[in-house]
Amino acid sequence: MNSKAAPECSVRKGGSHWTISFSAMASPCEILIRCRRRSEAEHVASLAAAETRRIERKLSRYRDDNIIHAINAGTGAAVEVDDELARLLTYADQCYRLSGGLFDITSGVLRRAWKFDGSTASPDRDLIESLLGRVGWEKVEWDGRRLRLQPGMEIDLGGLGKEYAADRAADLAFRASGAPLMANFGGDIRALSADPDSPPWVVGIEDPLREGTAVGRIDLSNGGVATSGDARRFCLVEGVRLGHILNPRTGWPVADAPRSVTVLGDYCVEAGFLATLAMLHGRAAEDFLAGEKVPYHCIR
Amino acid sequence: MRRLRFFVLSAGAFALAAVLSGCAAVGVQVWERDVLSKPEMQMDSHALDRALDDHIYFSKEASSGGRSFGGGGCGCN
Amino acid sequence: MQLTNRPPLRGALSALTAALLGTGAAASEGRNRVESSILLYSEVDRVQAAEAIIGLGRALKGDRMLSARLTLDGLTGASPNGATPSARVQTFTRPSGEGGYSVKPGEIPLDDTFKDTRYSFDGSLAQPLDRLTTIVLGAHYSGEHDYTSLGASVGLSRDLNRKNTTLSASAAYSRDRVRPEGGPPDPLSSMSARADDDDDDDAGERELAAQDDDGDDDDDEDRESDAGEGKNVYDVVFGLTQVLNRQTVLRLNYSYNHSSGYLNDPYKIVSVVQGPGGPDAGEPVDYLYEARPDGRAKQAVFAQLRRYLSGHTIDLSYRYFWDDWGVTSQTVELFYRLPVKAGHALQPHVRWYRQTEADFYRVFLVEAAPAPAHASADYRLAPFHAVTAGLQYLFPVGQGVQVSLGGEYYHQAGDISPPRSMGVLSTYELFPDMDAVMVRAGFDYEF
Repeated sequence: MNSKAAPECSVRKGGSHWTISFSAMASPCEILIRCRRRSEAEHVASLAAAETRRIERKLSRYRDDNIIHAINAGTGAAVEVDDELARLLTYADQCYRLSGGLFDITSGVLRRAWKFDGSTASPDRDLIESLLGRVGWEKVEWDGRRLRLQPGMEIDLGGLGKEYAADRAADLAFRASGAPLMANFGGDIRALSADPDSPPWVVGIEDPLREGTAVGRIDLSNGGVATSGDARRFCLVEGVRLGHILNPRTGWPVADAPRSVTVLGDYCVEAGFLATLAMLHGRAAEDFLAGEKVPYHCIR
Repeated sequence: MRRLRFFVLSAGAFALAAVLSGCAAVGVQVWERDVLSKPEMQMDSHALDRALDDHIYFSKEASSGGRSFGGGGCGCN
Repeated sequence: MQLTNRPPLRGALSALTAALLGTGAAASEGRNRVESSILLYSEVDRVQAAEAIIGLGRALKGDRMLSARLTLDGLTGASPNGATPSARVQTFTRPSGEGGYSVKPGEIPLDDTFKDTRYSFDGSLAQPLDRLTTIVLGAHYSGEHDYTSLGASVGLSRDLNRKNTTLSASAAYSRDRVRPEGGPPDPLSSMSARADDDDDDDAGERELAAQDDDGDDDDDEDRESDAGEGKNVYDVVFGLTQVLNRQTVLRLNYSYNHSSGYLNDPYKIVSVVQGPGGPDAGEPVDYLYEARPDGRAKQAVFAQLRRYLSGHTIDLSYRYFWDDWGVTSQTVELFYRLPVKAGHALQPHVRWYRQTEADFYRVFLVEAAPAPAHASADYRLAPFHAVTAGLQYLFPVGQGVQVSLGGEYYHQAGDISPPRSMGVLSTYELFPDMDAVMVRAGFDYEF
């Protein structure tokens, strides 16, 4: 057992499962696991917490000692990345194309023009214009191993990070124990089970306006769940409520997006991508998700 | 033993042909590799143990080969 | 409401996400590996051996993988020299030519001067040529006091069918050198004649050394007798690995090995016994050094199935082997891995083996019968069957270390039928049945 992970990691027994809790990525992280012994749960806890924190350290844009900082601080030089980041960037590249440019990891700089604390905003259009010049994955050189950003551009993997961590932690935990489990990282969820007799986990979909009450329920044994929403992060522009998800082409938030979108997929990363994309469809969110034939729940 | 050898070779060749021709249809999708990626499902796991076994059996028996090269490199046989 | 007219992303997205997450390997930040295993082997009343291997692996830039393995082994004890038992005490010359050893009546003669240490080094570099193809280059060196081997290998593998199928082909070449103590004996020459010759030779050499002052000729002569005998070995293996379903993998291999050069065991002899009809039928009158052909072509087909079944893993394999010396064999091996608690597992293991004899295998030669071209009484070329049964315990220690501890029992029993014995030999065991116990411990650390 790793003493590095143990201190901020708690393992409690609850019913037919163990609950592992730790905090990472600015969220409460939980793993519910149906293994028999406490020692197994503790072993899983230390693996999962270590992996989640490793991913956080690696992908966070708030640190000055990781590869993301090196890439974002660069002045147009090409950076060679390791296997894991290469896979993430390849994924981001493919998602950019699949989404017709709506999913773009270079769009992070646009947040500088907005404040989503619920206050009334009068966005600076000139700032948005100039920021747009620094946005666009098509401007990036990516050959599968080396990344070169134009000066002034930044990449932000925050949109993928938590879901990726949930998937990776769940996967590691499952391979270490083989027991049915569900990782819930602040609403980004991945469940794994190889036991058909194990009952599914019950996930409640929270009412965005009434914290703590559920308006829907998902029974989950295997798969990923992610939620995108603007219940707490929004601003008002000329009386219209706008969420925090920005369209990378216009630099503006999407109008008429649902209050909350919850999507069920095979993986958390996949569900997260679809949830974000649904939000970006604004009024057509439900149609988009219906066309993708995924289970979803939209709240307006 | 010749008949057995013929049988084993034919069975092997047939199995190989069947496997190769059916290969495209047999297998799993990329997302179904959860079990296969477990360490105990890696065909090359415990390589050192198998190497030790091979060395013992190579020096005590007339046969060699199978899992990997046909043996050699020591004065024991 | 207007339905989106873009085709669903879901299918492609699933595949992409699986590719993002599905590699299964831990994030590679300079993947390194150290593994080590120690084996203690002990035959009842015969050979004892200890073997230790240490292996290192390192992932390099460009997805290259470098590995090195160092093996050290030492053995000591007694090994059958090929002679048959007798009703009288037997005396044999030591391989070095200095002195001899005796064997009690009724016992299978064992040469107890068996003692050797061997070290070997293996290195390999695996380089991906593209996403689906890998090339592996290897080198090998091993040395013991009377044997050295130097070799190289190359292998190629290719993935097909979404990596459900892997085809591989590899080839190896090695050049071995045998330098037996006392020099290689003439095949089918008499052991007693050699003892006399050796004495003469030694005396002759000492004389020559005393007479010759500048020493050049001496060095040449020494070098000639020290040159030993060579052996070339070529090896090819073709393999197919196929995923059958979510829980099952199949592997099929075909291997071909050809060696040419000095293939005799310079320390093994064949007893020449008196013919039938007299009171001493079956008693030895002479011992001849064995003679094997100077080429051998071995082939084997191998099939292995590994299946995962609710937490348990079963590995079953079969090998059919044959060569141009007339030996054929079958091997069946089963491993069953049972998890006992988080990360801990118990793995029982059994192996069945049966081989037929080499064409030139002789339990003994009969006096006055015409001498064959080749003859060997080495029990390893005799017909026998063997069983191994073992148990291993596997468990993790700390972070990233896997430990294994295990024991095994190996038993060999001859299949030499009674009609082959003669006279007094019919009362004796002609195949040196053998029992051995093995204990092993190992660890594997990835960081």
